[in-house]
Amino acid sequence: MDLTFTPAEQTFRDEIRSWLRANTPTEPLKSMDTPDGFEQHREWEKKLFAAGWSVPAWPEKYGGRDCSLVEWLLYEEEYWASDAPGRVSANGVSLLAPTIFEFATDEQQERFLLPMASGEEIWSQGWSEPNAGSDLAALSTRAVRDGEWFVLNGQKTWCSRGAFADWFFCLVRTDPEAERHRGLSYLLIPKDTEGLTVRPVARIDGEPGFAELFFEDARVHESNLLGEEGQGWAVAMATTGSERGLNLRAPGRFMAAADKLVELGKSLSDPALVNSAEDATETEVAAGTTDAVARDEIARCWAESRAYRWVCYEAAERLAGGEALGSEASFMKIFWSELDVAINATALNMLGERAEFTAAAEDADRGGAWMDAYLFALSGPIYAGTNEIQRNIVAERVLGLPRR
Amino acid sequence: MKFAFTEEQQVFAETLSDVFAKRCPPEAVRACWDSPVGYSEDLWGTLAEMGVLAITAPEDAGGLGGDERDLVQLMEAAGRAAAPLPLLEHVAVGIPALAEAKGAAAEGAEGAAASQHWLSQAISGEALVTAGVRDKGTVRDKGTARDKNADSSTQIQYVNYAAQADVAILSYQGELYLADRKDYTTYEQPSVDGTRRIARVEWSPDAATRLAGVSASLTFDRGATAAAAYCVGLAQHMLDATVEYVKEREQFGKPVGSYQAVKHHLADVAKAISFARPSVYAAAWAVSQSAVLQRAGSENITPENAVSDRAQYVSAAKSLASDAADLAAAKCLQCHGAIGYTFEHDLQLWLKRAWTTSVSWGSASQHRHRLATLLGI
Ligand SMILES: Cc1cc2nc3c(=O)[nH]c(=O)nc-3n(C[C@H](O)[C@H](O)[C@H](O)COP(=O)(O)OP(=O)(O)OC[C@H]3O[C@@H](n4cnc5c(N)ncnc54)[C@H](O)[C@@H]3O)c2cc1C
Repeated sequence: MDLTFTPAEQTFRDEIRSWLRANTPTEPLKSMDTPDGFEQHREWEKKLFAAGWSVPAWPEKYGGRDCSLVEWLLYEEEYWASDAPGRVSANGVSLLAPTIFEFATDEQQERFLLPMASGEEIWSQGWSEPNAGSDLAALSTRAVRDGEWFVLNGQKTWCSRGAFADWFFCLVRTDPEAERHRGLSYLLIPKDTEGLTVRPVARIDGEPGFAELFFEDARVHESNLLGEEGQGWAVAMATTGSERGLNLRAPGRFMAAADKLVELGKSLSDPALVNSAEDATETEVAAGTTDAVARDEIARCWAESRAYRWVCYEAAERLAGGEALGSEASFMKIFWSELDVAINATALNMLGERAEFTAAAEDADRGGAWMDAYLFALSGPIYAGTNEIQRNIVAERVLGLPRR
Repeated sequence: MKFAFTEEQQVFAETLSDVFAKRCPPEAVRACWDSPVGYSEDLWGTLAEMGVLAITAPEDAGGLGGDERDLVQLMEAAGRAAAPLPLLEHVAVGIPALAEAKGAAAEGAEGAAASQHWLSQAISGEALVTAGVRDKGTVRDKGTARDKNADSSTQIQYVNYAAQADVAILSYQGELYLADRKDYTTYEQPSVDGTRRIARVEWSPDAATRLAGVSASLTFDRGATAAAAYCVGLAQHMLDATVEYVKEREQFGKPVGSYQAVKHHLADVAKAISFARPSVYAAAWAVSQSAVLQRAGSENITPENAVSDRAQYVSAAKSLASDAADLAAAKCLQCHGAIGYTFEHDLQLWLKRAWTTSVSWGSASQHRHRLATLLGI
C-alpha cells in the first residue's frame, strides 16, 4: 500500500490543473436548465473536448486520452476543485457511454460517441414513466415492430436535460407477452422523431430541468436498437451500474464541496464575527456562525468525503485488476447522496438568516450557491434508484438477506 | 497510488484470523472476564512465539521491521474475534515508542537506556508494556486531577493493563515518559467490559525518564489507528453474526431478516463499515510514512503535505470507525431483540468491546473536534 501518486499521475494532475486554471470561466454560467444556460454549457463542453478534457478516460479515437481510472479520479478532483461548470453532457458521457462501449455495434459507436464527447449531441435518459418509478420493470411504453421500424406509443417522464436535449436513450416494451424483465428493448431516439412531443417540466427550482416525452405512433429505426431486441433490461442494468458506481458521481465533487464547507466554517468562525459574548448579537446571527455543532458536522462531512475518496481509489484498483464492481456500488450511491445533503444542510445552518438568499440577493454567500446545491442534493436520494431501493439491494445482494 | 496490501500482508492477516478463530472463541473471551490479567496469557505466548509481538520492532533490535500497514489487518482480525489482548498497548504503541527512544539515545538519559532493555523484553514477550497517551486537542492532556488532595506534581491517568504491565509509556504535557511499574500506583477501575483492566494511574513525571525523540502525537496516532482498526473488526463481526441470526429467526411466519426495517438497519451498518475500513487503511499508511520521515528528521509526508496530514487521516479514520462500531452495536442489538440483551448471549461481549474501544484513544466527536482544528476552523 502506497497512497502517494506516481510521477505520471502527478504530471497528469498538473496538466489538467493548469488547463482548468487558464480556461475555467470566471463568471458562473447560467443554469443549464434554461435555454441560454444550456447553450452556454454546450459551448463549455466543446471547449473541453477541443482540449481533450471532455472524456479523458475514453479511447483517443473518440476524443479521449485513454487515461487510467486513478487518473480519471484525479481529473474529477481537479475539475470540481476548480469550480468549473457542471457537465450538461453527463447523462450521455457518464450513463449512456459505458453502455455503448459494452453493447453497441461498431457502426453505432462510430455514429454516437464523437458527437456525444464534443457536446454537439446532448443526451437525456427516458426510462421512468408515471407508473414506473422504483419499479422500473413495470414500464409500459410500447414499441411494435413494423419491418425495419419500431412504432412507439406511451409516455416517459422526469427526463433530466430533456427539455433541450438532442437525443433520448429509452427503455421500451417490445414484447408484452414475455416475463416483464424480458420483454424490454433499449432504443436511441432523436428529439425530432415524428410523433414525439417533448414537454418541459419545471423542477423544484422553477427551471425546466425535466421533460416528459409523449410517443404517438413515433417511428424509430432498428439501427437505433442498442443491444438485442428483448435484452433491454440487461443493457439497462449495465447503465445503472455506472449510475450508482464510480461513473456518475466521482468523489472529487464531494471533496470540493466539503473543502468549501471548511472554508465557510473558517470564515464564519472569524473571531471578529464570533466572539466570546454570552449570546451572539443580532449581527452575528445574521452573518452566520460556526458553533460547536457546526464544527462537528463540518469535520464529519470532510472525513466522509475522504472516506468516499479512498473507497473509490480502492474500487478503481480492483476494477483495473479485472474485477467487477458489484452490488457494493449501491453503498456508494447511498453514501454520496446523503453526504451531499449533509454538506449543504450544514452550510445553510451556519449561514442562518442568509441561508435563504438567492443569487439575486446582494448578501448571499457565493451567489446563493449553497441553496442551489442544497436543492439539487435533495434529489440525490431519489434519482438513480432511491436510497430505500439501494438499501434493499445492499441487504439482499450484499448481505444475503431473504427477499421476502 | 496503490491501495492493495502485499501478498505477505494478506497471508499474515489470514493466518492470524485463523489463530483467533481457533484460540479465541467467545468462551475464551468470556473466560478473560474472570482472569486477573484480563487476557489469555497462553494465547499471548503463542503470538510471541509466532513473532507477532516483533512486527513493529526494527530489525536491528531483533524485530521484523514492519509498520502500521503490516499491523492494521491484524488489529482488525483481533476486533472480529473481540480478542482481549494487549495488542494495541504493547505492539501498536509500546514497541514502536521504545524503539524510537532507543534510536534517539539521548546522552546518558535513563529513558533511552531503559527503553533498550524493555524493548528486547517486550519483543520476546517476557515483559508487558502498556501505554496511556493523550494528544492535545483530542483529550485534555492534563490528567483528570479530580483528587483535590493529590500533591500537585502527581498526575492521574486511566490506563488499560496498568497494573498488569511491567512498564508504562505515559504522556505529560506533550512529552512521553517511561514509567516502571514500581514508579506508579494503580487503582483498579472496573469497566462495563469485563475484559478491560483499566486503572487510575498516579505518577510523578520524572525528567530523567523522559523519552526524548519520541513524538507523543505520533504515538497517540498509532494507538488511535489501531483502535480504529479494532473497531472495524468488531463492527464486521457484529454485522455478520446478526445477518446470520435474522435469517434464522422467524416471526409472523417469515425470517425477520426479510422485513425492510431490519434490512435497512443492517444495510446502514454495512455501509458504515465499508467507508470506515479504507479510511483506516489510509490512516495506517499515513502513520507509517510519517514515522519514516520523522526518523529522517523531517516533519513532512511529502513536501506539500505537512505532518498535520497524518493527524487528519487518523482523526477521520477513528471518527468513522468509532461511529461504525457504535452504529453496529446499536443496530445489531436491536435486530436481535431480547436475546441480545442477555448476559448469556455472546453479542454482549462484542457490544461492550465496541462501547469501550470506540471511546478510547479519542471518541468520534473528540476526533472530529481535533480534525476541525487541524482543518483550521
Ligand atoms: C432530479 C431527478 C432527476 C431524474 N432524472 C431522471 C432521468 O433523467 N431519466 C429518468 O428516466 N428518470 C429520472 N428520474 C426519476 C427517478 O429515476 C425516479 O424518481 C426514481 O426511480 C423513483 O421513482 P418515483 O419518483 O416514481 O418514486 P416511487 O417509486 O413512487 O417511490 C416513492 C417512495 O416509495 C419508496 N419505495 C418505492 N418502492 C419501494 C420498495 N420496494 N421498498 C421501499 N421503499 C420503496 C421510494 O423509495 C420512495 O421513497 C429523476 C428523478 C429526479 C428526482
